[in-house]
Amino acid sequence: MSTAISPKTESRKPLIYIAVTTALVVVVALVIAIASSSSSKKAGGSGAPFVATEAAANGTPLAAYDETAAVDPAVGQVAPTLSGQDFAGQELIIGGDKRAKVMVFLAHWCPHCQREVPLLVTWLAAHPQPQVDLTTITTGIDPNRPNYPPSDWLRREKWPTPVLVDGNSAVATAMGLTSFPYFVVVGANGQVVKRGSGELTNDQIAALFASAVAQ
Amino acid sequence: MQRFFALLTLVALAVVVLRIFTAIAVHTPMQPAVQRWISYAAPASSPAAFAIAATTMLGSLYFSEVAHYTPCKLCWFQRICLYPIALILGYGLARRDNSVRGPAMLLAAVALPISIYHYLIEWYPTLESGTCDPTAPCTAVWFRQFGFVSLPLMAGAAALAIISLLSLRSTTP
Repeated sequence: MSTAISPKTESRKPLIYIAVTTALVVVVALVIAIASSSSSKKAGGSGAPFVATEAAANGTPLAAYDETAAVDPAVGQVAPTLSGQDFAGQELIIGGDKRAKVMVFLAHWCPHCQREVPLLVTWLAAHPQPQVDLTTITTGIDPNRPNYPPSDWLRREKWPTPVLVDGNSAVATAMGLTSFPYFVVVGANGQVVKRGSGELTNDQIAALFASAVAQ
Repeated sequence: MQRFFALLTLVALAVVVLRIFTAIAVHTPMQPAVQRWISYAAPASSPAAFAIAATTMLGSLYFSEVAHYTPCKLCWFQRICLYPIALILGYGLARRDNSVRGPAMLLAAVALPISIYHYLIEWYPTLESGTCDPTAPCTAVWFRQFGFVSLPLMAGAAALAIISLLSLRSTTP
Protein backbone atom coordinates (compact mmCIF):
# COMPACT_ATOMS: atom_id res chain seq x y z
CA MET A 1 0.00 0.00 0.00
CA SER A 2 2.75 2.39 0.90
CA THR A 3 5.34 3.70 -1.44
CA ALA A 4 8.09 5.74 0.09
CA ILE A 5 8.91 8.98 -1.61
CA SER A 6 12.45 8.91 -2.86
CA PRO A 7 14.68 11.33 -0.98
CA LYS A 8 16.01 12.47 -4.33
CA THR A 9 12.63 13.80 -5.34
CA GLU A 10 12.05 15.51 -2.04
CA SER A 11 12.02 19.22 -2.35
CA ARG A 12 13.58 21.33 0.36
CA LYS A 13 10.64 23.72 0.09
CA PRO A 14 8.45 21.92 2.66
CA LEU A 15 11.37 21.92 5.10
CA ILE A 16 11.62 25.69 4.86
CA TYR A 17 7.87 26.04 5.25
CA ILE A 18 7.77 23.77 8.28
CA ALA A 19 10.68 25.64 9.87
CA VAL A 20 8.95 28.99 9.32
CA THR A 21 5.62 27.60 10.56
CA THR A 22 7.24 26.08 13.65
CA ALA A 23 8.99 29.34 14.45
CA LEU A 24 5.73 31.26 13.97
CA VAL A 25 3.79 28.84 16.20
CA VAL A 26 6.42 29.14 18.94
CA VAL A 27 6.46 32.95 18.74
CA VAL A 28 2.65 33.20 18.75
CA ALA A 29 2.39 30.74 21.70
CA LEU A 30 5.03 32.72 23.60
CA VAL A 31 3.25 36.03 22.99
CA ILE A 32 -0.12 34.60 24.07
CA ALA A 33 1.43 32.96 27.14
CA ILE A 34 3.18 36.16 28.24
CA ALA A 35 0.10 38.30 27.59
CA SER A 36 -2.24 35.95 29.45
CA SER A 37 0.11 35.42 32.41
CA SER A 38 0.60 39.17 32.91
CA SER A 39 -3.18 39.74 32.83
CA SER A 40 -3.79 36.89 35.30
CA LYS A 41 -1.14 38.35 37.63
CA LYS A 42 -3.03 41.65 37.64
CA ALA A 43 -6.21 39.80 38.52
CA GLY A 44 -4.44 37.78 41.26
CA GLY A 45 -4.53 38.17 45.03
CA SER A 46 -4.16 34.99 47.04
CA GLY A 47 -5.20 36.22 50.51
CA ALA A 48 -3.32 36.29 53.80
CA PRO A 49 0.40 35.47 53.75
CA PHE A 50 1.33 31.96 54.83
CA VAL A 51 4.44 31.12 56.80
CA ALA A 52 5.58 27.49 56.94
CA THR A 53 6.65 27.64 60.58
CA GLU A 54 8.55 24.77 62.14
CA ALA A 55 6.93 22.39 64.58
CA ALA A 56 8.38 19.98 67.13
CA ALA A 57 7.51 16.61 68.65
CA ASN A 58 8.47 15.82 72.23
CA GLY A 59 8.56 12.18 73.18
CA THR A 60 9.54 8.87 71.66
CA PRO A 61 8.89 8.92 67.91
CA LEU A 62 6.47 6.38 66.53
CA ALA A 63 7.72 3.71 64.11
CA ALA A 64 7.13 4.40 60.43
CA TYR A 65 3.60 3.32 59.57
CA ASP A 66 3.36 0.16 57.49
CA GLU A 67 -0.16 -0.62 56.38
CA THR A 68 0.82 -4.15 55.38
CA ALA A 69 2.07 -5.04 58.87
CA ALA A 70 -0.20 -7.41 60.81
CA VAL A 71 0.46 -5.58 64.07
CA ASP A 72 1.19 -1.88 64.36
CA PRO A 73 4.09 -1.51 66.85
CA ALA A 74 3.00 2.04 67.66
CA VAL A 75 -0.33 0.95 69.15
CA GLY A 76 -0.15 1.29 72.93
CA GLN A 77 2.85 3.62 72.77
CA VAL A 78 2.51 7.09 74.27
CA ALA A 79 2.24 9.54 71.38
CA PRO A 80 4.69 12.43 71.31
CA THR A 81 3.36 15.84 72.28
CA LEU A 82 3.29 18.14 69.29
CA SER A 83 3.92 21.85 69.39
CA GLY A 84 4.06 24.60 66.82
CA GLN A 85 1.93 27.37 65.39
CA ASP A 86 -1.39 27.58 63.61
CA PHE A 87 -2.08 29.62 60.46
CA ALA A 88 -2.50 32.78 62.52
CA GLY A 89 0.84 32.28 64.26
CA GLN A 90 -0.75 31.27 67.58
CA GLU A 91 1.04 28.62 69.66
CA LEU A 92 -0.63 25.24 69.38
CA ILE A 93 0.09 22.19 71.53
CA ILE A 94 -1.38 18.80 70.73
CA GLY A 95 -1.27 16.20 73.51
CA GLY A 96 -0.92 15.99 77.28
CA ASP A 97 -4.49 17.21 77.85
CA LYS A 98 -6.17 13.87 78.69
CA ARG A 99 -8.47 14.21 75.70
CA ALA A 100 -9.02 11.56 73.07
CA LYS A 101 -8.10 12.81 69.63
CA VAL A 102 -7.98 11.95 65.99
CA MET A 103 -4.93 13.48 64.32
CA VAL A 104 -5.21 14.10 60.61
CA PHE A 105 -2.09 14.77 58.55
CA LEU A 106 -2.77 16.56 55.28
CA ALA A 107 -0.65 17.68 52.35
CA HIS A 108 -2.00 20.56 50.28
CA TRP A 109 -0.83 19.00 46.99
CA CYS A 110 -2.18 15.49 47.62
CA PRO A 111 -5.35 14.79 45.60
CA HIS A 112 -6.48 12.18 48.11
CA CYS A 113 -6.28 14.77 50.90
CA GLN A 114 -8.16 17.23 48.69
CA ARG A 115 -10.93 14.68 48.27
CA GLU A 116 -10.99 13.65 51.94
CA VAL A 117 -11.20 17.15 53.44
CA PRO A 118 -14.73 18.03 52.25
CA LEU A 119 -15.91 14.56 53.33
CA LEU A 120 -14.54 15.10 56.83
CA VAL A 121 -15.98 18.62 57.03
CA THR A 122 -19.44 17.37 56.07
CA TRP A 123 -19.26 14.35 58.36
CA LEU A 124 -18.13 16.40 61.37
CA ALA A 125 -20.87 18.96 60.80
CA ALA A 126 -23.45 16.16 60.88
CA HIS A 127 -21.79 14.20 63.71
CA PRO A 128 -20.34 16.51 66.38
CA GLN A 129 -17.72 14.78 68.53
CA PRO A 130 -17.76 16.30 72.02
CA GLN A 131 -15.54 13.56 73.44
CA VAL A 132 -12.94 13.53 70.69
CA ASP A 133 -10.81 16.38 69.39
CA LEU A 134 -9.99 16.54 65.71
CA THR A 135 -6.44 17.81 65.45
CA THR A 136 -4.97 18.64 62.10
CA ILE A 137 -1.39 18.86 60.95
CA THR A 138 -0.52 20.32 57.57
CA THR A 139 2.79 18.91 56.45
CA GLY A 140 4.77 18.17 53.29
CA ILE A 141 4.49 21.91 52.59
CA ASP A 142 6.09 22.95 49.33
CA PRO A 143 5.44 26.30 47.62
CA ASN A 144 6.37 24.76 44.26
CA ARG A 145 3.59 22.22 44.53
CA PRO A 146 -0.07 22.69 43.61
CA ASN A 147 -2.79 24.08 45.88
CA TYR A 148 -0.33 26.16 47.90
CA PRO A 149 -0.67 27.61 50.49
CA PRO A 150 -2.50 25.10 52.70
CA SER A 151 -4.04 27.95 54.70
CA ASP A 152 -6.03 29.16 51.67
CA TRP A 153 -7.11 25.62 50.84
CA LEU A 154 -8.36 24.72 54.32
CA ARG A 155 -10.08 28.10 54.78
CA ARG A 156 -11.79 27.59 51.45
CA GLU A 157 -12.97 24.17 52.61
CA LYS A 158 -14.21 25.69 55.92
CA TRP A 159 -12.01 23.36 57.97
CA PRO A 160 -13.50 23.45 61.47
CA THR A 161 -10.48 23.11 63.76
CA PRO A 162 -7.09 24.81 64.26
CA VAL A 163 -4.28 23.47 62.10
CA LEU A 164 -0.71 22.86 63.26
CA VAL A 165 1.78 23.97 60.62
CA ASP A 166 4.57 21.42 60.25
CA GLY A 167 6.87 23.40 57.98
CA ASN A 168 9.89 21.16 58.54
CA SER A 169 7.92 17.86 58.50
CA ALA A 170 9.43 17.05 61.92
CA VAL A 171 6.04 16.17 63.37
CA ALA A 172 5.14 13.98 60.40
CA THR A 173 8.38 12.05 60.79
CA ALA A 174 7.96 11.69 64.55
CA MET A 175 4.45 10.34 64.07
CA GLY A 176 5.59 7.75 61.51
CA LEU A 177 3.90 9.22 58.44
CA THR A 178 4.61 7.30 55.25
CA SER A 179 1.73 8.45 53.02
CA PHE A 180 -1.15 10.95 52.83
CA PRO A 181 -3.76 11.39 54.17
CA TYR A 182 -2.58 9.93 57.48
CA PHE A 183 -4.56 9.38 60.65
CA VAL A 184 -3.40 8.70 64.19
CA VAL A 185 -5.99 7.98 66.87
CA VAL A 186 -4.84 8.75 70.41
CA GLY A 187 -6.82 7.81 73.50
CA ALA A 188 -7.45 10.01 76.52
CA ASN A 189 -4.50 8.30 78.24
CA GLY A 190 -2.19 9.60 75.51
CA GLN A 191 -1.54 6.19 73.97
CA VAL A 192 -1.84 5.45 70.28
CA VAL A 193 -5.02 3.46 69.59
CA LYS A 194 -4.85 3.14 65.86
CA ARG A 195 -3.10 4.46 62.76
CA GLY A 196 -4.27 4.50 59.19
CA SER A 197 -3.67 6.03 55.82
CA GLY A 198 -5.68 6.72 52.69
CA GLU A 199 -9.07 8.05 51.77
CA LEU A 200 -11.84 7.11 54.20
CA THR A 201 -15.52 6.58 53.65
CA ASN A 202 -18.09 8.02 56.05
CA ASP A 203 -18.34 4.67 57.85
CA GLN A 204 -14.57 4.50 58.24
CA ILE A 205 -14.49 8.05 59.60
CA ALA A 206 -17.16 7.09 62.13
CA ALA A 207 -15.18 4.00 63.12
CA LEU A 208 -12.04 6.09 63.55
CA PHE A 209 -13.72 8.50 65.96
CA ALA A 210 -15.44 5.64 67.78
CA SER A 211 -12.11 3.90 68.33
CA ALA A 212 -10.73 6.99 70.10
CA VAL A 213 -13.21 6.57 72.97
CA ALA A 214 -13.60 2.79 72.86
CA GLN A 215 -10.77 2.05 75.29
CA MET B 1 5.71 28.93 30.74
CA GLN B 2 2.89 26.56 31.66
CA ARG B 3 0.62 28.50 29.32
CA PHE B 4 3.27 28.51 26.60
CA PHE B 5 3.76 24.75 26.66
CA ALA B 6 0.01 24.23 26.98
CA LEU B 7 -0.50 26.20 23.76
CA LEU B 8 2.15 24.10 22.03
CA THR B 9 0.27 21.02 23.28
CA LEU B 10 -2.87 22.28 21.57
CA VAL B 11 -0.85 22.71 18.38
CA ALA B 12 0.41 19.10 18.71
CA LEU B 13 -3.17 17.92 19.18
CA ALA B 14 -4.17 19.89 16.07
CA VAL B 15 -1.45 18.02 14.15
CA VAL B 16 -2.95 14.73 15.35
CA VAL B 17 -6.46 15.75 14.29
CA LEU B 18 -5.13 16.82 10.87
CA ARG B 19 -3.35 13.48 10.50
CA ILE B 20 -6.50 11.53 11.37
CA PHE B 21 -8.40 13.63 8.84
CA THR B 22 -5.89 12.82 6.08
CA ALA B 23 -5.97 9.11 6.98
CA ILE B 24 -9.75 9.11 6.55
CA ALA B 25 -9.82 11.47 3.57
CA VAL B 26 -7.58 9.27 1.39
CA HIS B 27 -10.49 6.84 1.28
CA THR B 28 -12.93 9.46 0.03
CA PRO B 29 -13.37 11.37 -3.24
CA MET B 30 -10.91 13.91 -1.81
CA GLN B 31 -8.15 11.35 -2.31
CA PRO B 32 -6.19 13.08 -5.12
CA ALA B 33 -6.02 16.39 -3.29
CA VAL B 34 -5.12 14.73 0.02
CA GLN B 35 -2.42 12.63 -1.65
CA ARG B 36 -0.93 15.71 -3.23
CA TRP B 37 -0.88 17.36 0.17
CA ILE B 38 0.66 14.29 1.81
CA SER B 39 3.40 13.99 -0.80
CA TYR B 40 4.13 17.67 -0.29
CA ALA B 41 4.16 17.53 3.52
CA ALA B 42 5.79 14.11 3.98
CA PRO B 43 9.39 15.31 3.60
CA ALA B 44 8.82 17.74 6.45
CA SER B 45 7.37 15.12 8.79
CA SER B 46 10.68 13.96 10.27
CA PRO B 47 11.94 17.49 11.02
CA ALA B 48 8.55 18.38 12.50
CA ALA B 49 8.57 15.24 14.68
CA PHE B 50 12.12 16.10 15.73
CA ALA B 51 11.01 19.65 16.64
CA ILE B 52 8.18 18.25 18.77
CA ALA B 53 10.44 15.68 20.48
CA ALA B 54 13.12 18.29 21.18
CA THR B 55 10.55 20.78 22.53
CA THR B 56 9.07 18.04 24.72
CA MET B 57 12.49 17.21 26.13
CA LEU B 58 13.35 20.86 26.79
CA GLY B 59 9.93 21.52 28.29
CA SER B 60 10.23 18.51 30.56
CA LEU B 61 13.67 19.66 31.70
CA TYR B 62 12.33 23.16 32.28
CA PHE B 63 9.54 21.89 34.54
CA SER B 64 11.84 19.67 36.61
CA GLU B 65 15.03 21.74 36.74
CA VAL B 66 13.76 25.33 36.60
CA ALA B 67 10.21 25.14 37.95
CA HIS B 68 11.27 22.37 40.39
CA TYR B 69 8.32 20.07 39.74
CA THR B 70 9.59 16.75 41.08
CA PRO B 71 9.04 14.06 38.41
CA CYS B 72 7.06 11.06 39.63
CA LYS B 73 7.65 7.43 38.62
CA LEU B 74 5.32 7.63 35.61
CA CYS B 75 6.94 10.92 34.56
CA TRP B 76 10.27 9.10 34.49
CA PHE B 77 8.86 6.26 32.38
CA GLN B 78 7.57 8.80 29.87
CA ARG B 79 10.90 10.61 29.89
CA ILE B 80 12.75 7.37 29.25
CA CYS B 81 10.66 6.90 26.11
CA LEU B 82 10.44 10.47 24.84
CA TYR B 83 13.94 11.86 25.41
CA PRO B 84 15.69 9.37 23.10
CA ILE B 85 13.26 10.23 20.29
CA ALA B 86 14.80 13.70 19.96
CA LEU B 87 18.29 12.15 19.79
CA ILE B 88 17.27 9.39 17.38
CA LEU B 89 15.39 11.71 15.02
CA GLY B 90 18.18 14.31 15.25
CA TYR B 91 20.69 11.62 14.30
CA GLY B 92 18.47 10.48 11.43
CA LEU B 93 18.09 14.01 10.12
CA ALA B 94 21.83 14.65 10.29
CA ARG B 95 22.58 11.37 8.48
CA ARG B 96 19.55 11.63 6.14
CA ASP B 97 18.63 8.20 7.48
CA ASN B 98 14.92 7.40 7.39
CA SER B 99 15.35 4.06 9.13
CA VAL B 100 15.24 5.84 12.51
CA ARG B 101 11.53 6.54 12.08
CA GLY B 102 10.57 3.04 13.20
CA PRO B 103 12.40 3.06 16.54
CA ALA B 104 11.19 6.61 17.20
CA MET B 105 7.58 5.59 16.56
CA LEU B 106 8.02 2.54 18.78
CA LEU B 107 9.28 4.66 21.68
CA ALA B 108 6.40 7.13 21.23
CA ALA B 109 3.97 4.20 21.13
CA VAL B 110 5.31 2.96 24.46
CA ALA B 111 5.08 6.44 26.01
CA LEU B 112 1.49 6.99 24.89
CA PRO B 113 -0.33 4.43 27.10
CA ILE B 114 1.77 5.53 30.09
CA SER B 115 0.68 9.12 29.47
CA ILE B 116 -2.96 8.07 29.12
CA TYR B 117 -2.83 6.13 32.40
CA HIS B 118 -1.03 9.02 34.14
CA TYR B 119 -3.62 11.48 32.86
CA LEU B 120 -6.44 9.21 34.03
CA ILE B 121 -5.12 8.85 37.58
CA GLU B 122 -4.76 12.62 37.77
CA TRP B 123 -8.52 12.87 37.29
CA TYR B 124 -9.38 9.67 39.17
CA PRO B 125 -6.67 9.23 41.86
CA THR B 126 -8.33 6.19 43.38
CA LEU B 127 -7.58 4.21 40.20
CA GLU B 128 -4.01 3.96 41.46
CA SER B 129 -4.37 3.85 45.25
CA GLY B 130 -5.99 5.66 48.13
CA THR B 131 -2.84 7.37 49.34
CA CYS B 132 -0.21 9.88 48.22
CA ASP B 133 3.48 9.09 48.32
CA PRO B 134 5.09 11.90 50.38
CA THR B 135 7.86 12.51 47.83
CA ALA B 136 6.47 12.39 44.31
CA PRO B 137 2.95 11.03 43.92
CA CYS B 138 1.84 10.33 40.35
CA THR B 139 -1.66 11.52 41.18
CA ALA B 140 -0.59 15.07 42.10
CA VAL B 141 -1.57 17.62 39.47
CA TRP B 142 1.07 20.34 39.17
CA PHE B 143 -1.19 22.46 36.96
CA ARG B 144 -4.11 22.25 34.58
CA GLN B 145 -4.01 24.89 31.89
CA PHE B 146 -7.35 25.65 30.20
CA GLY B 147 -8.84 23.24 32.73
CA PHE B 148 -7.42 20.09 31.11
CA VAL B 149 -3.82 20.46 29.87
CA SER B 150 -1.56 18.88 32.49
CA LEU B 151 1.93 17.40 32.22
CA PRO B 152 0.90 13.86 31.16
CA LEU B 153 -1.43 15.31 28.53
CA MET B 154 1.51 17.30 27.19
CA ALA B 155 3.64 14.15 26.99
CA GLY B 156 0.79 12.12 25.46
CA ALA B 157 0.03 14.80 22.87
CA ALA B 158 3.71 14.92 21.93
CA ALA B 159 3.84 11.12 21.55
CA LEU B 160 0.67 11.11 19.45
CA ALA B 161 1.90 13.96 17.24
CA ILE B 162 5.24 12.21 16.72
CA ILE B 163 3.48 8.98 15.73
CA SER B 164 1.11 10.92 13.46
CA LEU B 165 3.92 12.74 11.68
CA LEU B 166 6.22 9.74 11.34
CA SER B 167 3.39 7.59 9.99
CA LEU B 168 2.71 10.13 7.26
CA ARG B 169 5.31 8.73 4.90
CA SER B 170 4.50 5.08 5.47
CA THR B 171 0.84 5.59 4.61
CA THR B 172 1.51 7.66 1.51
CA PRO B 173 -0.17 5.75 -1.33
